Amino acid sequence: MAIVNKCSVVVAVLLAAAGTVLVSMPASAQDAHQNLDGFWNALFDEDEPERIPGPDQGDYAGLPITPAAVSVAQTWDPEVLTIPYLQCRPHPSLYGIRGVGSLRIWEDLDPQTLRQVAIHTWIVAWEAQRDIWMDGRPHPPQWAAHSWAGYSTGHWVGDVLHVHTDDYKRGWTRRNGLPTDDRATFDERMFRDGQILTDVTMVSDPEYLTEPLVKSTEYQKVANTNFATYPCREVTEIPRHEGDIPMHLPNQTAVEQEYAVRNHVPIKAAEGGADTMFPEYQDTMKKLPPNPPLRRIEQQEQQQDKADENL
Amino acid sequence: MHGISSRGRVVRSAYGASVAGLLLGAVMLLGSSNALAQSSTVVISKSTRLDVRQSPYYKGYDFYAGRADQGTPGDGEIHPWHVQGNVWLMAGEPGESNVAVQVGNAGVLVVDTGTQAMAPKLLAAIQKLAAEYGGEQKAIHWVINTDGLMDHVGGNYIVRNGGNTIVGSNFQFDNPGLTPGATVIGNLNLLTRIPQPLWPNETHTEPIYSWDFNDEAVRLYHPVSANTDGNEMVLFRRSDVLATGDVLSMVHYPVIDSKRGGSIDGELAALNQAMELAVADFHMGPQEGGTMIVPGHGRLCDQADLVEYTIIVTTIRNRVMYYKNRGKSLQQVLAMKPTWDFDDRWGESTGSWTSRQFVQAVYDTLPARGKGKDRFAMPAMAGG
Repeated sequence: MAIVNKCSVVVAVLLAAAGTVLVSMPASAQDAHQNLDGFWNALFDEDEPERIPGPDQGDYAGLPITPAAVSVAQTWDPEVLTIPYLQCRPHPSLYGIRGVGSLRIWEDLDPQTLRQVAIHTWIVAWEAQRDIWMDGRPHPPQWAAHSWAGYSTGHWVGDVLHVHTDDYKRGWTRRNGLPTDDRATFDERMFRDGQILTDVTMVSDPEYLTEPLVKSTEYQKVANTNFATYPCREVTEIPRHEGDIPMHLPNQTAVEQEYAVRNHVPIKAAEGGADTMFPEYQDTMKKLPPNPPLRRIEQQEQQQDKADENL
Repeated sequence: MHGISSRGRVVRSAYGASVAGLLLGAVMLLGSSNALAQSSTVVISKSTRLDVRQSPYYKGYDFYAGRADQGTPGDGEIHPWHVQGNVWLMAGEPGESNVAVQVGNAGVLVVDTGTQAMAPKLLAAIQKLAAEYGGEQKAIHWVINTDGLMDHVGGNYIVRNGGNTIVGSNFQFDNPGLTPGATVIGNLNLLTRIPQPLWPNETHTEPIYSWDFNDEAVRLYHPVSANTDGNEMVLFRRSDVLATGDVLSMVHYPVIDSKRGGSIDGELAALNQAMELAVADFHMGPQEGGTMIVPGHGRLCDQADLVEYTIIVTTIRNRVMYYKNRGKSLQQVLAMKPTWDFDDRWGESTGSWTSRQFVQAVYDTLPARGKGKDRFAMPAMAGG
């Protein structure tokens, strides 16, 4: 009887101890997920013309943009980037992930529980850092300042990192003047397949997009990469009157149409909109009026510039 | 036991013990899982050491972190929010009208006093702030009015009477003391804009007016004719915070009161002056932070936000100038809706300041014929 009782006690203690050991195991071992840490080089593939040299002004096809976005983009003059105040602006993170340059990712772990507190991303252009808070902290209140990186929080769903970002400054979805409002939000799904990192992104904007703008961007893991600092200081590149903002006035429409006419895209189609995202739009394109000849567009541009200078 | 052999009793005892042990382990595991699940929604205090925003480099603009009890606009409460250095934002006024407060060893300075209805709560919140973060002097000594609109000066009477002014002595008396009421300072033109009980008791006319308070220079910049002819912008030089008043708003187009001396070109000159006063931080890359700006309405911002706002206002101004130069009447310009592509964010079709009112103010205050290229060129700024 005494032997039986002792055995029973030993078994019970061992089983209880097993539960205790399981409890005390590090959290990371309990909810393991993909490791995104390291250096990553951008893969461009078919996106190279947009992400490297950049799109022409007037090239808005295939984007679910509103007429207001088209109007703002048509007003935008690339010369505005020579203004000193704009020279060191980084990309907002909703565009920056698409930009040129290598990516570095690292994480912060709580020293006691080893749970992820934050995942940080760093893009070489303008040394743009973004912090993705993984600890459930609330987003800032409505009166807090906004930033180029926005405020990001994330969580893992299996091996996919879900990220939500808001509190952006006014920014852009393309480097030809297409704007985003400071109420834009950015949702991502990041996952790794071997040495390839994929980031599926969705930009939502109540003013300038009729529906989420969805893109995917890929990076390849490298052992190390060419990470240089990005010191930036504003200088006066073009002397102009203080307060002068380069822009296109209402009469300057030819410059916007040149891209479409030169590339044989109907002008209406080049203005974008959700319809233009789908292959069925080709049927609509066949019914659009023909473009004016390129020579006429070029003459109009010269006349409009001359009328502007003579005021 | 009846009908149970000794061997059976061993088996049953061992089985019972095993189940008990398993149950005990399961209970412990479940309990710890719950604890872990709860802790995943709580910021673990020790992990703040790893928060890059707490590092010395980012000390100046740790404006990101949210709090669980942070409140929402329009909830009827005043919410202090640390901007930078000595300066706090008191958020929560109706219409997102902003109040800025400087707290330090010498006492409290308040920029604008919000609405009359919220004044008691605002005063209580300022006094609580001073009790927590003030120095030896905790009283409100200075109130600055950035303009004469009631959503910025409505609380003057209550907030002023919640403070006091240190007065000096002359050779006949050697007892310096306090006089009831803080000193309310504003531009001279405010005396014709607001009711007498809300008057500033000290006025000035200089383009720049400065003094030292709480170990930093406080500089008042008077734009000649921005929203009105009585605007002030306040620069806290060491804290590196600029309170612009209604020169800058993050919720609507600038409110330009032509009957009270406001003009669109004066407003743009003031915005450009504010851009000169604000300096962005270029350390470690992105142009961000540096001088923090408390606008008259809406969220905190920095130079980049101010530049974007200025570009939008300049764009609209140039469009209206373009049409006016070509002989279009006000009604014709209104019909063209020169603000339509920015209205969803900045414009209103109803309320106290609509897009149409803004366009009319721009049209009415533009010269009959604009400068070359239809574009804004800043007029000479007094004291600029």
